[in-house]
Amino acid sequence: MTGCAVVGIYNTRQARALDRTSESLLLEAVVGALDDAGLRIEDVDGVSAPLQDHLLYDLACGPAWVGAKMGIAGVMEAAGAIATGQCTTVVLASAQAGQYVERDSTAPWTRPESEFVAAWGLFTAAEFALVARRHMHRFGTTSRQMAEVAAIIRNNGHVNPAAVYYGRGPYTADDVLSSRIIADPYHLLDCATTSEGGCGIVVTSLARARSLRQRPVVVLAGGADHFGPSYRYPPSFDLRGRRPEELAANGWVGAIAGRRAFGVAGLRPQDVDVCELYDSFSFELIRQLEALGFCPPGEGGPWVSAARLGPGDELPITTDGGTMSYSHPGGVPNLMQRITRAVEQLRGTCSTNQVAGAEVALCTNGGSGAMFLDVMLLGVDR
Amino acid sequence: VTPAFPVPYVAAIVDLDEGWQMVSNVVECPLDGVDIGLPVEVRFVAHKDITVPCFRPVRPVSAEEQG
Repeated sequence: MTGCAVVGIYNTRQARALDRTSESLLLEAVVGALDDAGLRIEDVDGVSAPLQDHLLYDLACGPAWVGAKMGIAGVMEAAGAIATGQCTTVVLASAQAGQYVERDSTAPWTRPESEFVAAWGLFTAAEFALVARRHMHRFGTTSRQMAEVAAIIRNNGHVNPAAVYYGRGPYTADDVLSSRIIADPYHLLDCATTSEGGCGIVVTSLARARSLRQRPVVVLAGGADHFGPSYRYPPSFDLRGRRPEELAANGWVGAIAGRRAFGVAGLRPQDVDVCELYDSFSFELIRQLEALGFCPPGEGGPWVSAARLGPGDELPITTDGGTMSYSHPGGVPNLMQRITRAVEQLRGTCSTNQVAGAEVALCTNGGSGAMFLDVMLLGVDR
Repeated sequence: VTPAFPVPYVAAIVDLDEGWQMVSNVVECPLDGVDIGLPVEVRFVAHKDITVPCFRPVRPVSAEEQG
C-alpha cells in the first residue's frame, strides 16, 4: 500500500484529429480532473506534466513539487512524493494535438533513429514483430491467437461511444487476419492507431481522499521493468542481463515488476477483476499476460484463445478499446488512459463493459518492442 | 520506414559466431525461405551514401525447399 489514492480523472474528447492545440487540451484535462475530484487549483502542490513542463508556470501554482515521469510511472512517482511528505496533492496531465500528422501510420512519435537499427529499416511495428515472431518460433503461438485478442479489444471500442473507432466493428479474428500486412506477423488491425486528445489524473493521500467527492481508488502497488532506451536497440526476446531470475529476459519484461507489485499488495493474479493492459500490438497482450503470471510462460496463445478476455469473461482486458480503438494520443495521454479506465472500472462508472463488482484492477504501460513494462495495481478502498 | 526500403524486406536479429547479436536484413533469399535458425553469412550492400552489412543464406534457399 502506498497510502495514496486516485481521486480525479478526466479525458477530453478523443479523435483522429481535433481542431485544438495541445495547450488548450492540457488545461481542459487539468480543470476536468480537479473538478472530478472536487478540488480547486489552489489545493494542488504538485504538478506532473513531463512533456509540457511549462504547465506549472502557466497554472501559477508554484512553488510546487514536480514530477519527471509519465503514465503509471508518473502516478507511482507522485505517490512516492506524497508518501514521503514532499507534497499532498498532485495533478498529472498530458495532451497532444496537431503534432503528428503522419496519419497513415502507427505511433509516429516512436520512430527509431539509432544508426544501429534505422539502417536496416526497423520501425515500430517491425520491432514489436521481432518479439512476436520469436515467441511463435519457440512456443507455437499463432497469428490467429493474436487476431482473437485484437478483435476483443477492437470490439470493446466498437461499443464505446467515447472511442475514436466507435461503431467501426464488430470485428472477427478473420477480419484482423484479412487486413493488410504491416510487419509480419502484424496486420493492420493488430496494431495501435494514432489519434489526439488529453488526459488528467489527480492523486492525493488516502486520508484526504476519503473526504473528497469520489470513491477513492487506492494505489496498491506498482513496479517498473526496463531494459534500456526506447527504439535505440532491438528488442531481443532472449536477451539477458546480469539478473539471475529465470524470467529476467527481455521477452518477459514485466515479470519481475509484476511479482514485486503482487507481493507488496498481498495479491495474486487470480485476485484481479479487470486488466487494463497497454495494447500497442496484439501479441503484446499475450506476452504481458504470461509475464505477469496470469498463465505459464509460453502458454499464452492457447490461453487467450479460450474465451477468457471478453466482456463478462473471467478476465476482461482493455475494456474501453485501448490504443487500438479508444484512443492513442502520443506524449502521453496514451499511457495515462489505462489508469483512468481502471479507475472508472473500480468506481463502477463505466458506461460500457463495466465489470460488475470490480475491486482490483491491474494496468500496464509498455512499449518500444517490449523494452519496458510498467505495472500498477489499483483497488477499491476497503 | 522511408522509400529507401522497398517492401517487402526482412529485418532480423542475427546471432554472430563471435557471440554477439546485431540487427540486419536477410537478403538474396525468397521470403518463404527465411526461417529462425537459418545459417547466414555477411553480405555488404551498397546504398547511395552508405554501405551496410546484411546477411544472406550460407546455402542458396529456394521457396520450394523451405515450404
